[in-house]
Amino acid sequence: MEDGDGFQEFARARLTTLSRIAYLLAGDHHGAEDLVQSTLMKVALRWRQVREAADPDAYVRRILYNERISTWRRRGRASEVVTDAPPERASTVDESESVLRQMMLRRALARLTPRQRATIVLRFFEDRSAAEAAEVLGCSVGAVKSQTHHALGRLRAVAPELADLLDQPTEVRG
Amino acid sequence: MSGLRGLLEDVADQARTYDVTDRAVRAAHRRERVHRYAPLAALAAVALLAVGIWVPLRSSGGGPSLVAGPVPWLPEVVAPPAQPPPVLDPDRPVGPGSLLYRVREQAGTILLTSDGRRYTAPDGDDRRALSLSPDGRWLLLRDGGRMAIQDLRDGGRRELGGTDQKEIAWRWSSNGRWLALGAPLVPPGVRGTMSLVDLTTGQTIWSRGQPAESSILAVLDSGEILTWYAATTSLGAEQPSGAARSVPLRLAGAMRPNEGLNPQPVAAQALADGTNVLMRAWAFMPQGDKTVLVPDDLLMLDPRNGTVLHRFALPDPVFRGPAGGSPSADPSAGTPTPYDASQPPDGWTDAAYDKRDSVAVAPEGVLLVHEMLSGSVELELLDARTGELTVATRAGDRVGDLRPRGYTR
Repeated sequence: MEDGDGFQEFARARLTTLSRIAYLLAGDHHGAEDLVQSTLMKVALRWRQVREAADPDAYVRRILYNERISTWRRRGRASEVVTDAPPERASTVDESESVLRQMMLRRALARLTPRQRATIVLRFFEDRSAAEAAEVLGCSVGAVKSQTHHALGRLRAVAPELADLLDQPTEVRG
Repeated sequence: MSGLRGLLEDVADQARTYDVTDRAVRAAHRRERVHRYAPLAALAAVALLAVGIWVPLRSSGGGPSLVAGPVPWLPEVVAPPAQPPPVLDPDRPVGPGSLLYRVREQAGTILLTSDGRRYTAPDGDDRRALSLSPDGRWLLLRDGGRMAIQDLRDGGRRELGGTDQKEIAWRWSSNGRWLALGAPLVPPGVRGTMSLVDLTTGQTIWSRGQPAESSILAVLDSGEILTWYAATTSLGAEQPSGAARSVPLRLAGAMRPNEGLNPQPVAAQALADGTNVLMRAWAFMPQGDKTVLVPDDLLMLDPRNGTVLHRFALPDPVFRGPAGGSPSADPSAGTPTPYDASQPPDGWTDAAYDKRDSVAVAPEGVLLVHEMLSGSVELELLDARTGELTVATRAGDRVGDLRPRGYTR
């Protein structure tokens, strides 16, 4: 890697997007920060290929998602724990419905496998088609559809409170 | 599913902007340097071995030198006994123990007491559970499906209640006052059991539920048991009074890229020095389609705030590479070639390598078992004030599985 050849400018312009996706994938700030760092390190090491790629952003996204999946595989666990007893909430705190649902979603996401979680983020947060998701994850379109089906089923099972969101008959781009 | 999309966006809004660009650039430069110099390091290691010189491959930033300096209560050399030692009688006082060890091709574990006498210790149900307390008074063993402690000073054996789980981990406090027992890892959705034994009396003073997905990590001199949630990299702390707290570990800045704590509790090599926790940093080395966890330096963590107080450099492990250095060669044939752990080649095996495991905390420092490529084993002492590593005990021919006082696995 050479300095001063546009890497830093490229990276900083994408930090917000990368950080948001990393947070959804990792589930906590430490994990997300580590994920962004390891992704950018790999981008830096392959900067020439990234810069010359037809779609540099797609290249970076592939690294980000696959880094998360392989990191989880290496460590054997997601970086978010689901305890057997949820922490008690202070009764004086006025928690809105929205905040509660965010907590439920975060907990439910933590119960997915990293590949399922990546599929959910790609398809429902990034609004990618099954073909685009397959390209990022390096698998078949059928595998993405299967992962999506199983991930949604898992979310319904572990977070029945969110069933109204998960059962909405909304188009999923195929 | 616009509702799901909206909620995901709400969660994503909680993200910060992690501006780690500069760190990533520095990490990339370090990685490039490693790649550039790894072949030279491997060649140098081969050359040194060829002339019979052993030099540990060091982690970056320098590290301890090896000089002789025995721990007073440990022998400088452990030799196999000429005759099998007498069997240890559970009711007979024999004085404090110093070391447990085994001799290849001989049955039983040998107990060496501080006055130099040797006994054949009971292996019990599982000899892996044999350990001596930090003051040498108690011998921990598993017998009849439960953990028990045998009083070497006064004689007698006591069963420890609530210890009939299949897998159990133990932790000694460095002052010899407490023994904590619990699950190495409680499966998701269930509750384990952990207990605290007061070693002044040998009685279990409390037994409580151990949270799901936690591992018993260490017990401090205060009797506070630390548990570890590998998934969130946070500590739980249970005080004898019943008070509990949670402490997220703040490892950022103390770890190198691709480093982390070992999520496998048995291999985590966690100890307590009285008030702080010692845990091993592990490097995650991708090797083709698998990743190998390589033990790295030793971290001293402050359990009050989760910060890293100190990082003790340890020599890098040396791996047994493929025969003749050829990636395509059969690793089981020919002369093994050592490789720097940071760049093990294709075809390497992690079945045998020159490595160190931290196993106990003594008044003199941290004790490590050093297993060498030659098959020899020695105990080393890491001085926590200077970071210096000294050889405490050398194992003679056929001697292995050294377990000094306070041994924890």
